[in-house]
Amino acid sequence: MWEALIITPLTSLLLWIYDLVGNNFGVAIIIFTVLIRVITWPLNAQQMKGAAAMQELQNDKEWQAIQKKYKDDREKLAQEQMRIYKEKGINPFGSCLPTLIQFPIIIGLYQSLIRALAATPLDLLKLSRSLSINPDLVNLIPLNSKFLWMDLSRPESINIFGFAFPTLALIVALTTYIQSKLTTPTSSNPNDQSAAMSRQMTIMMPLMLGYFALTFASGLSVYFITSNLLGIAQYAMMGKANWHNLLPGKKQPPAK
Amino acid sequence: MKIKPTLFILFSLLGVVLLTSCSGASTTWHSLAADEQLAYIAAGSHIYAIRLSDGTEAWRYPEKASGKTVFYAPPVLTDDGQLLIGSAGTDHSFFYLDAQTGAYKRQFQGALARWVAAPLVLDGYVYAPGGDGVLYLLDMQGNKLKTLDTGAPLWSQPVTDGTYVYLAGLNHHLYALQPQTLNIVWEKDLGGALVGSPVLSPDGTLYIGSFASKVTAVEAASGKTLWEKKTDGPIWSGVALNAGLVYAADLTGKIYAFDAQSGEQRWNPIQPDGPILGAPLPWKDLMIFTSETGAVVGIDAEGKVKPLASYQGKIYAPAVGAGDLILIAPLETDFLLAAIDTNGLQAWTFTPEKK
Repeated sequence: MWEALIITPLTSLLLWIYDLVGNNFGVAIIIFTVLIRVITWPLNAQQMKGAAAMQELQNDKEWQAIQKKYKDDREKLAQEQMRIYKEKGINPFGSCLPTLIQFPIIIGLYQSLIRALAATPLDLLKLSRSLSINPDLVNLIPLNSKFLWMDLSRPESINIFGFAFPTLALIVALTTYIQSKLTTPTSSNPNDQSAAMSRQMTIMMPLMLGYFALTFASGLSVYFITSNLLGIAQYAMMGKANWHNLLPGKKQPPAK
Repeated sequence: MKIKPTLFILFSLLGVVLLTSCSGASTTWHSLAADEQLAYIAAGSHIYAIRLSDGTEAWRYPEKASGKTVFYAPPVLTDDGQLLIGSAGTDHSFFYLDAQTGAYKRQFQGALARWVAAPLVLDGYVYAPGGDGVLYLLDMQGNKLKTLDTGAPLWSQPVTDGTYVYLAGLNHHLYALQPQTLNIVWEKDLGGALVGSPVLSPDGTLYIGSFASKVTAVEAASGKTLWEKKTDGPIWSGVALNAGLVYAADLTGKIYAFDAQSGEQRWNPIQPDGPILGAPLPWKDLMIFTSETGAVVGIDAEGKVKPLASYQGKIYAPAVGAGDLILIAPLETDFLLAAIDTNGLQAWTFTPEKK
C-alpha cells in the first residue's frame, strides 16, 4: 500500500524529472521539491495561518483570563477554550494537521531519494521494481549522483586544511533556524507554554535536521535546503515573516 | 532557554528510525565461496567459515561484531591461502584474511564507498572493483598500485583470459583492460547497467546480461558485438556457459538458453518460479538456478526443470558448488547456509551460535 501509493509514484516522478533535465540528479531533487511544495502549498498555508492564529490567541486578554480563572478545573477550562475557538473561528488542529499529512510525504520522499540513488543491491532491486511501470526508465540506472562538488549518495563535506567541513549540514541547520525564527510569532504572555515550545523547536529542529544532513545522503540535504528556502519565501509572500526575530537584541513588535 | 533533552532525543530517534528503516538494511544480502574443505559465507557482521564435512563452524571474522563492518560482497580465495573480501559497511575496508584460520593479515583502506563486488586475483595482483566506481589494483600486501575511475559503482567481479581483464560496470560499460597498467583496450556501452559478471568462453567470446533486458555476445579481443538477444526483463545475475549453451535468467523469473555461437534461442523461456538474481551454477549435466522466492531448480540442456529444494526465505546469492554438495544461502530462515546434494537431499544446515 505504502509502496504502491507513495514510493513508486514518487520514485518514478523523480526519475522522470531526472531524465527531463539531462540526468542531473541535484537539479531533479530541486525541481521535485518545488513540485512537492506547490502541491502542498495549501496545506502549508493552512498550517501557517493556524499557527499564527494560535499564537495570537495566547495574547488575547479573554484567553489569558480563562487560563487563570479555571487553572484548577481542567474540564471547565477545556469547555471555555472550545467556546473561544468557535467564536474566533479557529481550528485548534489547524496548525498540526497539515504537518501530520505532510509527514508521510517527507518520509516517502527520503525513501524515494535513497531508492533512486540505489547504493546497495537491495535498493537497486527495489528501484528496478518501482520502475516496472515505465521500463524505459530502467536504462537511466545508475543515476549520476554528482552535483556541484557533491556526491548526493553520500554525506557531504569539504576538505579544508585536512578538516572535513560539513558545509551542507551547516546550511541545512542555518536555513532551518531562519525558517523557524521567521515563522515563530512573538508572545507577550510569559506563561505561554505554546510559545515556549515553539522557542524550543526553533533550536531543536535545526539541530535535528543538521544531524540528519551530517549522517545521511546529501541528496536529502539538498531537499531540506530547497524546502526551507521555499518555506521562507512562502511565509514572506503571505506577509507572515517575522524578520525582527532574526536580529538579536532588536526589540520585537508586539503581536497583533 | 532550556531545551528538554528528552524531547530532542525522542524527536531524533523517531526521525532516525523513520529514515533509516526505509533505506534498505545492508545486511540483507549474503554471498558464498568454497574451497575443498570449507565454505565461506559473508553474512552481515561476520564472515563464517564452515566445515563442508559436517556444517560446523571453523571460524568467524571478526570475533566481535563491529557496527562499521558489514559483509555481503563475495569472498575470494587466493592460491597462497588468503581470503579477500571488502566491507559493505561504513569502514570501506578491504580485508586480507587467512582462509584456514580467519586470522586478520592486513587491510586496504582508501575506498570511498562500500564494497559489493568480489575481486579478481591474477598473477599476484588484486583487481578490486569498488562501489565508488574505482577499480583498485592492489598488491598482496594491501598496497594500492593503480586505479581506474569508471564514474559509477562497480558491483561485479572482473574476469580474465590471461591477456586482458574484463570489467563490467553499472555505468553500462564493459571494459577490456591491460593487466597491471589498467589501460583501456576497448570499452563498449551495452545500453543498461551491468550488475553481473561476464562469462568467458574458451574460444574468446564474452557473454553478459544487462539491465537493458538483453544478453550480448562480444568478441573478447576486439569488443565487437557478435550477437544480442532480448529478454523479457532486466538481467541481474551473471550468465553461464554449459555444453555450447549460454544460460541467462531475468528479474521476471524467466530462464533462457541461447546457442553460444549463433545466439539462437534453444527453447522457449521457462519460468519455474520467482525472480532470479543469483548467477547460474553449471553443475554436472544441470544448470542450477536459485530464485528470490526460495526455489532451487536444475535445468537440463533440453529445458527440463528438476526442482531440487524450496526454502521459506529469499535467495539472492548464487548457489556454489563444493565437492558433491551445492551450497545455498537463503535469507529469513532459521539457518544461514544449507548444503544439498544433486537430488536435493539436505546434507546439513549451518546456524551460527550466539557468542
